[in-house]
Amino acid sequence: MNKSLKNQFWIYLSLSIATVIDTFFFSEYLLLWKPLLTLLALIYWNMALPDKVGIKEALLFGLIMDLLSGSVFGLHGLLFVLITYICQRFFYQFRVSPLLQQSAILFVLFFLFKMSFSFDFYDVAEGMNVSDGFFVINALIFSMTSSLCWTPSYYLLREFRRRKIKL
Amino acid sequence: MLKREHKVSNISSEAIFAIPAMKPARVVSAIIFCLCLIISDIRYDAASYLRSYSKDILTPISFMIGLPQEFFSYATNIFSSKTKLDERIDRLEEENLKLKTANQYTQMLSSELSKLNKLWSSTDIDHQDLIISKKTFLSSNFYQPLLALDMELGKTIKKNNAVLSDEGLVGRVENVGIASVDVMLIQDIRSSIPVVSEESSLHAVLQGKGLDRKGELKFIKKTASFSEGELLFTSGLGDIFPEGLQVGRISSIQDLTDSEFLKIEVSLFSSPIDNDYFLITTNE
Repeated sequence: MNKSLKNQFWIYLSLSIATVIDTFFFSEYLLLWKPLLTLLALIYWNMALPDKVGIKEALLFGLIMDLLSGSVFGLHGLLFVLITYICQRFFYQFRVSPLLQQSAILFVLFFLFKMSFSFDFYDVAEGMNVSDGFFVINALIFSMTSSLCWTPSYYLLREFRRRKIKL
Repeated sequence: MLKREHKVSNISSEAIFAIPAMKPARVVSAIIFCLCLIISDIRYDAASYLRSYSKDILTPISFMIGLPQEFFSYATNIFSSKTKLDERIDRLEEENLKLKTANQYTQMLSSELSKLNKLWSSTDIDHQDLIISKKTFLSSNFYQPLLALDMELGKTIKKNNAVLSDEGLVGRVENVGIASVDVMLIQDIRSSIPVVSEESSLHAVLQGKGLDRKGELKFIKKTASFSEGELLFTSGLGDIFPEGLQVGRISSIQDLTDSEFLKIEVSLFSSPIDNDYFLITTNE
């Protein structure tokens, strides 16, 4: 197997593991608050190796998340693609900023990500909108847990990259 | 490297970044592709087949996830027996361990059995028309939570069959795969259930409002005589849900001045989080 394929394999493996953890490992009592590790991993790879991860991976894992979570098919895909684009567009600025600042940026990003699920695509829930207090609080807690998980995810994936990815 | 593919310094004309910028055309086409998927799913429910079969793919993955744990416990048993020094203590400890394991296993079986008994005796529906199914997966999707149940091969489950727990109605079958079924929960915002109240015998439609939230009775005139604490059962109208299944209890009634209808919130009895086993009606 050549080096490029090997690298691709390790990146896909890490994203797949994150997806499996997202799907199976969290207690059902934490469903609404659990961090989205797939997206954290995707952001990390976009930031660390923007030439090796891009739209294709974002779309693929976004659609997988759609199938697993039961959301409108294509919604995760769309959001993952947009976040990938933002990360790739600003990764020079993002990469050099301190981890705390990165977490703060991700908090906003994850909040916007979660809030996009409050759109009533099926036009069935009268009065459902972005000012739904319960949903906003859950979205805030979700963003908080996800941004808190950024630092450990960052170090873990960096160690993984240094061991496995050969440039 | 082609100059147009890279960010280039205007001063020196030399490439200062080795990484090509993402092509906006690809981003735009990916976005358009996703929007097409979203529209096709909303309008024509295009992804329902994919969704049901994706759970079948997940079944071996969840099995593989459980394997290391089983292997670890197996390995622990082997090593613990090898390292014991005293023969007698060894035998006794082993026996003790076995007894404890057997006890735990019995306790687990007894607990599972009591859960199943409770579930089985919780409904008046003919037991020939029911299938017991175990929960395999519950998604975290807030407004459209998805419950996946396993299904024995050879059983005939159809779309819209009712799914019950010992606390009452859970939802209805949305997609049927090979070895799993997807359930649209009563908490789902797309779910509308015809219900009838216990005391006032008034009919209404109960709509889900999301996971961990109360449901709401829709379009209830201000003259309707619902009362707080009243139980709600399925009315059987629409021929989807059997009649007389417990759904919830009216928790609050608000007469809002800016609305022509009453705002009636309903505490739903059945939560997919608290149960492992469910009954699926077969309608045969």
